[in-house]
Amino acid sequence: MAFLRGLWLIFTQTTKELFFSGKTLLFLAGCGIYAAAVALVLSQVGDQEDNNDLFAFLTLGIYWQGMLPLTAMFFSISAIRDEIADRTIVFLFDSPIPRSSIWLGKMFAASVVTILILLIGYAGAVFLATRVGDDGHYRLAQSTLEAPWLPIVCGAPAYAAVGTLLAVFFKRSMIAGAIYVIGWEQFIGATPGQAGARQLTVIDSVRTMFYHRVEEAGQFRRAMRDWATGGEDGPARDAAAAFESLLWLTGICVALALILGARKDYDSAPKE
Amino acid sequence: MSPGLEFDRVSRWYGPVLGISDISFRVESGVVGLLGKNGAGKTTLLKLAAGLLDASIGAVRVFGGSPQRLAVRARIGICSDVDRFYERMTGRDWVTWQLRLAGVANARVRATEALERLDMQDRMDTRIGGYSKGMRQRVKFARAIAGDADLLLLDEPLNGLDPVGRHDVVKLIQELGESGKSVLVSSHVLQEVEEITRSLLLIHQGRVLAEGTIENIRTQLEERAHLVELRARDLRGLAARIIGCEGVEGLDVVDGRLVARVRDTDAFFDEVTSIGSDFGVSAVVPLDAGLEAVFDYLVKE
Repeated sequence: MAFLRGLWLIFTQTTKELFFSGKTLLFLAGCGIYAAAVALVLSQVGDQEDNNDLFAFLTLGIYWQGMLPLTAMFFSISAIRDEIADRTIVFLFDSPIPRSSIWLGKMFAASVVTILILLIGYAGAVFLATRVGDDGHYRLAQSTLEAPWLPIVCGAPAYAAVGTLLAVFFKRSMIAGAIYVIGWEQFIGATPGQAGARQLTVIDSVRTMFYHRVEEAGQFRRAMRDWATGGEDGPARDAAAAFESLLWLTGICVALALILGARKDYDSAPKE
Repeated sequence: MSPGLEFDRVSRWYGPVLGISDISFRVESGVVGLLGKNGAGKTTLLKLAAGLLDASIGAVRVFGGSPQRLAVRARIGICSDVDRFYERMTGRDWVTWQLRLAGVANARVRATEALERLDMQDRMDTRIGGYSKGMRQRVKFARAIAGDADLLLLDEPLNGLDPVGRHDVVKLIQELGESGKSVLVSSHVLQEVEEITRSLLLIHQGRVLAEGTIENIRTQLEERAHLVELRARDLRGLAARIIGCEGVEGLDVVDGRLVARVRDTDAFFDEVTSIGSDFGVSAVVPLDAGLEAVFDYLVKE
């Protein structure tokens, strides 16, 4: 009971604190750049098939590989580390709730805020993309428009779980998060598929989900096939397997965060 | 019945640094002042009592149980030294939210009552970001008392309060103690503690120097020499007269005043009274009767 009460109150409060902060405006501006880039590029091309492929490329390249990890990691780390830096975390620690409800409440809040910000940006991109061009109205295939929903809903909590683990464990967790996003995710995520190491990244599962949801006949999907199969002729990892990988990664990070953060002292250079 | 708070040979290290060492004491119902200089270990001790830290050695018990148990922690009200809040919240919303977090029923009503008790009725619905230090202190204090906790841990609760606020909070702490609650109040300001309670726990460098009422602690010090300042017309004659008195260990002349080191103050005062008119004695001032002097003496020891 105390766990659920703490989880809900911390989730709602943190969501409000994060969403109505100046940081949200910063990330919305980043999403605006993506939407503007999509509109600009699509306004330069003609037929519908190119539009679908370009839209998918831009969405995967800028949004899911850039904005998703950055936003989710930033908010999940910030939700915890800002409170530790301000020492307001003490008011949560001395309440009769388990610490797991604090970490999970903050992780869920960061996930929800990330999803909201990215969906606002994505809605803006779709709005602009369907209104540019000579006749002011290019159509994008329904499957292309719907492709990002699942990756964002699954990817945000996974990144938030990694961010929560880093925030709980590392004092300089923003730096650790940047190293994770730029180093681990991009570097390991780009290794050949046959090695299987890519499955240790969130981005690989997000890309796989995205791949399975875009227009089958499009060039984008064909271009991604080599990547998805590791250059072999075998089948690409299916979306269910990618989802399972994300679940494992998320679960391991959450479990480690709860264990490492269960009794850690965040407020103790003995100061008086 | 288990005491509100009990430390049983508790030590706590921060890596190689000793926070507190081998501390044992009990807080039954009533107010106990936790007195020590900055860095003495007061906050460490309060964090251990609140279950925020684990003891390296020994046991901390609150009403017979570990303060890390949620059911036990629900009986503790804490006014911490943290001075940051969710600044966009109002004082009332913040206290209400904290009470809900603690599972207190009728949280908003109780938050309002507690804030009113602390004279915050006019400002409780404005944002904390606009509060003065004193108001922030009152909000923290309201949080500690609103849940009707049985043990109150108050870390420097008078910090930043104006004289009227200090008076109100001191009175409130005393009332809480009289109502049967166990209250541990920390401070590094001796006068503050003297104002609040006669029952003390003195710590220094992580160790307990003395425990008990102010009077008891003074009694423990009867063995040492006391300092008494004398002012007189004939200072030299007075000095020559009292140097031979029994119990006078030494004399110093400081800025035209005589300071005597005296073992038996009662006998000394009797002697000075009897010869005072001969030497024009105009003032006899005990220099170390205050708590501050007692504390300084214990620290030096």
